[in-house]
Amino acid sequence: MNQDHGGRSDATPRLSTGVTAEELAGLRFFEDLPGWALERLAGSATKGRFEQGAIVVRQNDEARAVYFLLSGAAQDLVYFEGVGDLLMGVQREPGSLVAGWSAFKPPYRYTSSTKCEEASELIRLPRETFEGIFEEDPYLGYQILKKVASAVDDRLEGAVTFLWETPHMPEKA
Amino acid sequence: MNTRTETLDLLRESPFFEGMEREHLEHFARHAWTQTFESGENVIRQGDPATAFYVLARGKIELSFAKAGVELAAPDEETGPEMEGHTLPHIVGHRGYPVGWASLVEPHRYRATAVARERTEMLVLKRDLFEAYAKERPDFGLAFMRRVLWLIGNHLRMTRTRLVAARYGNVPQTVRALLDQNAATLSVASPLHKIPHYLENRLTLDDAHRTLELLKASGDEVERELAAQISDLLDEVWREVRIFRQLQEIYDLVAGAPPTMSPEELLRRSCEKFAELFEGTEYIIRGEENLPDEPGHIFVMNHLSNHLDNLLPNDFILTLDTHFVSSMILLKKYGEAPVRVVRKSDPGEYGHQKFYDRLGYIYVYSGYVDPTDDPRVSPEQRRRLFVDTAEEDLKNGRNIVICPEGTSTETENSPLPFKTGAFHLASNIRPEPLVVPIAVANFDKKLTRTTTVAVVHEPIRLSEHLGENVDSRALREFVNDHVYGRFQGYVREAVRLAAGQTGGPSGSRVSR
Repeated sequence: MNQDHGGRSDATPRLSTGVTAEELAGLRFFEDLPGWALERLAGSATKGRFEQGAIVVRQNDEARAVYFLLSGAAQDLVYFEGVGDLLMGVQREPGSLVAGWSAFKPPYRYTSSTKCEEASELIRLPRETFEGIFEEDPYLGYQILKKVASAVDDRLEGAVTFLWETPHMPEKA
Repeated sequence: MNTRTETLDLLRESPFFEGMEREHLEHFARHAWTQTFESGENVIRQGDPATAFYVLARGKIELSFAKAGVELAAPDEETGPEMEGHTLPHIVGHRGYPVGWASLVEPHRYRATAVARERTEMLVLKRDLFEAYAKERPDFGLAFMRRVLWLIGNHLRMTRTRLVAARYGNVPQTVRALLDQNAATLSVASPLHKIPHYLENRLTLDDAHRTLELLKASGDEVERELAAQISDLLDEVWREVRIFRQLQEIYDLVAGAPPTMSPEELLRRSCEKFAELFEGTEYIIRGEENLPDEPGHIFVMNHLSNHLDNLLPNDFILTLDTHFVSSMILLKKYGEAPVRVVRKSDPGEYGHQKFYDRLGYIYVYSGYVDPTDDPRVSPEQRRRLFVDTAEEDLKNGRNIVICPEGTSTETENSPLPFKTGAFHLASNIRPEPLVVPIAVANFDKKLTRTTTVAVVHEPIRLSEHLGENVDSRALREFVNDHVYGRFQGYVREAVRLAAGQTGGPSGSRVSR
């Protein structure tokens, strides 16, 4: 499995392997997808194991792929000037989309970094495979993007929870 | 909004629908309708089934999130929006703003609550409309869902930015962070890059405001969206600037008043201006039923220090708690501003003296007295002058406000021990004025970030406690043991009220 940031990666996944359509169909995100689309996606997907602390994608890099968690835990980090990387949430649910929703909208840049909180297994799906499916069946594209939107919505809820748990600034702010 | 053309115009103005083909917009314009919400009415409510998508046509809405399991406050509750379990609300007033995107995404439950802050018109588009049209026109459906992703992404970015703002409280830095996150799409020549610099200094805040308004109207797509987001983020900053300007105007009104204007008239005008200022803040007033029917009494209150943000360029700070009691409680009840007892200015406090000299306040002297400036140098002479002036005012049916601590402190340390002057005054005058306790809280905080409280308590008739001829020692003991002891409880109760807990006298007046 290649990481999207090429030579600047902090860790390389081990045992990069292929993925079957059946494996994909077992993930909630891919439920209800027609067989031909699953075959197409599985044909370009790779599965890899990342060590604890490995960076999967980096904020602002070109979003060339979407990542789904099979096992482990992935952190969502956002960099703020003068503050550093802020943890916005941790995704542990197998099958969840952990990185790459920005691959579906301009300017196609990751809006956050994804880091493995523990050794994790992920599936990588290239953007162009999705785009090919969208072109072939736009309504299926509409339905897939609805699932992506739902995943981003979950992430937003996570950010809001963090907002609650953050104490408000003292008076001098 | 009455015509389909107007609906179409609104959709075209909305950043969410920007770039969509006219035939699609016309389809939605045919099926949309306008709904009007009165101030305080919910547009959407967090957790409810999300069946419709809205576009702001006219008015203002307040968006907030509540933590799961926390009941949302009813609009008329006194607790204010910043109660436990709620994020900082933000107010949105730009036409075309989309609300209720959760209707387009599973599980179709609203993620936020939107409450109209004034009479507000929203364009309503049912969820089924988009679903059916996406099926009919899959090419549109795909493009539409990319737009939904764009919208949720903006919300995600904005929420994260607000997280940083809440954690670090540095507005210019927060705006920089927002710009950085949009670096991939924002032109390096955009005037938006100037905003963080403008925000560094209070004198250039107006420039920031003007630039943002200009870009909201005529920037490119990215600039318009970012300018709107930054404006929302800065809502509190603009409110602080407005308060500061109002304080400056009040000072100028008093210090620059023509010599022919009477202190009473000037006092009244300044109190009216203060009332305007306080009406724009969150406050709670309780116990007004305890106010005597007629004026001519002594109102004693704890005195809170001032927030340094209210420091005027001449180093003068207008006290807020006493002006609140004067303008929002006493002026409203009696139609006349009370006389206040204030300390005589120290040498060099030109702003202080210039202001209070004009208002006909009664001075008390603490520490230094310039013998060339004031011939009444003996303490007895000064005490006599204070009593005589106050007595005359009371007999003429004017109220007097006194802070018996003789100094000010923070809410958390208030009240400090009381001096007995106010009570001596009450015991020496016939007909005997009542002493009316008023406890205040949070006037030492930023007005934009707190709920201020003033609670009027049952008046004290000293003769009922101490008899007709009051002994100084008995009075001192009464003030220290009885009055001060109770007042400590009164202030704690005011703090609890501000925090949203109930208690104390009934009959609330609450800001909206």
